[in-house]
Amino acid sequence: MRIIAIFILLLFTTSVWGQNLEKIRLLAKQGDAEAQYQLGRMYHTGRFKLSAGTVQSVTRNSVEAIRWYREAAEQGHDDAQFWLGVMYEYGNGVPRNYRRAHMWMNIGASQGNKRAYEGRTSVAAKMNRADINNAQQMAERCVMSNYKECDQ
Amino acid sequence: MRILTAVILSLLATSVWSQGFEETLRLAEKGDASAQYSLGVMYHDGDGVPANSSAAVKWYRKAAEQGDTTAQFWLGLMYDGGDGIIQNYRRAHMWWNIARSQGDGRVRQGIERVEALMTPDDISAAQKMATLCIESNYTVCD
Repeated sequence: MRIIAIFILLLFTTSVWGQNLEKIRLLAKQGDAEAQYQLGRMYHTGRFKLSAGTVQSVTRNSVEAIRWYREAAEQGHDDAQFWLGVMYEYGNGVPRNYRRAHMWMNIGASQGNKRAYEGRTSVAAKMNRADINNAQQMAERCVMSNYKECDQ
Repeated sequence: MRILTAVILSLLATSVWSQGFEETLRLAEKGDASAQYSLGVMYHDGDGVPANSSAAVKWYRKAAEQGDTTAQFWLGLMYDGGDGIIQNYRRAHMWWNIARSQGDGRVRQGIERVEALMTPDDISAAQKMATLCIESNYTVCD
């Protein structure tokens, strides 16, 4: 009896989990920035939070994390901008690039994101004056082009 | 008698001082530079309205582009700190250089500090931007 109960419970949680994840995936593909961010977090951390509060483990994948962070960041999601900056700062899933890291943190910070504000300071400490100023122009171009010219 | 005077004086001061957000907004939208600057401060401090750095930048800029040197000083500071706007040392330098040219000495320290964070190329680019901004009568500042 107890085994059956456990089995049913397990089936139930898996189906809820699957549903949530599929829903997030669908929303992300449809362009929902928050869903894209959640998907990025999931691939980055290897954890997917169910609405019930339980956590499901998934395979970590930095490249997929970058992909979804970027999608969300280019829609103006400030937390995604911060994390995309972190990926560039540490060369996680993408070649390390301080100027790009500074650019994304700067954009996130300009929207009032506290972690991006602090992150910008710490990445700036590893850069020279020319690179910092260059990264600032990159950030401005990125935002002024409505996130079309962010990869120069 | 003295108390009465004090009460009247403080009432008067309050009414002038607490010229509310709505009234300031109305004047600012009509193009009053001093009201635009005040509105920027209100948004910056969260005074009478929830604090919003982006909105503060917007109103500082409107006043700055009308030649208000205090607003130019604050706009430069926003660019310098990356508060409510993309941090950009060239633009901070540009606004402070403009304010200094209008006789505002408060910006001298800021200019010195930001120049230490810039290369000679950046400084000369910023100076060019300031000249263009002034010569275009504040129409080409971005």
